[in-house]
Amino acid sequence: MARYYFYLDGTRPYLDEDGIELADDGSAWQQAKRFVRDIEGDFQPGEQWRLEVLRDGRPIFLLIVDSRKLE
Amino acid sequence: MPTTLFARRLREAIGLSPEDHGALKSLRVTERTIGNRELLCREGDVARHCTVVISGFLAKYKIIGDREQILALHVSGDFPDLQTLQLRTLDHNIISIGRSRIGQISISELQGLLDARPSLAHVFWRETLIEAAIFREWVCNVAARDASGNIAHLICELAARLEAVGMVQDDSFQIPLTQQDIANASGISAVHVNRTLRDLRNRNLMSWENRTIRLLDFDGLKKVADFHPDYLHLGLRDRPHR
Repeated sequence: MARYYFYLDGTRPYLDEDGIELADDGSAWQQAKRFVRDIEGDFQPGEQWRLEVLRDGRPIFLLIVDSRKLE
Repeated sequence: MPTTLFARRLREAIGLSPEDHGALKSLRVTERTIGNRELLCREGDVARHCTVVISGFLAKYKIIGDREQILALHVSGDFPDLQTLQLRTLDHNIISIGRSRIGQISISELQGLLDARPSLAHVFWRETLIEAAIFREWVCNVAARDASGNIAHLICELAARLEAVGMVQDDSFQIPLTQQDIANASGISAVHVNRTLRDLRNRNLMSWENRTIRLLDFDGLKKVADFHPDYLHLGLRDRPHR
């Protein structure tokens, strides 16, 4: 078990101050993937979104979603 | 009496004849306390009892892959497992969230009572239909509503159901659920649940501290949720807003 933090940067940043106790890095990755589904409500064309997952203050994963408005 | 809150909810919604009320009270109910996260029954079990929630919260859930999907929540006065009157083998698990006090009634005794009193059989049938209506709203929550609407709808629904059994005081109520439970019920990641709850707090719609939820702006929260309580059939339409 460890405490994982999920920092969302981009158009609408969010700093999760509480963190979540999870079993292992694999579980943290599952949470990160699910979090990607959850940006749906917010996300507009041309916005960017970066999710950094940290364990004990160390970044372990980075998920980047980029979009462009082409016309 | 173990079935008191169930009877109360019925009386408010559709009325309950004194004979039917008396018949409910005559059921032999074995009371038990179950602990936090203690399983009441497992998927695949063959049921011999029907359960009524006296106090606390029960959740139906299934494990899908590595996810725990909460399928339903049950509060005081609910019978979470009425399907066992017809379908003896369970297709889901039932667990207590927090400590709960439950009453158990033998299926054969309950079935006998319902065979003898068709009006009561209709009441219990109606309960299963309402449960199905709640499932339909939950499908909308999980698949269609955005995160704010989803979580707001769940909170509004719990508030309405708890209010019907007298568990809401001064626009606040207790729930033992964790944010992970909300995530498991709503299909939203735990991180996003945290973020959404903060957002609902910042908008002064609701707060959730320790185990207490405060409906700071219930009307506002209902708007975010697009919540209309009719599907719960609690008879709320004619009741004054409190």
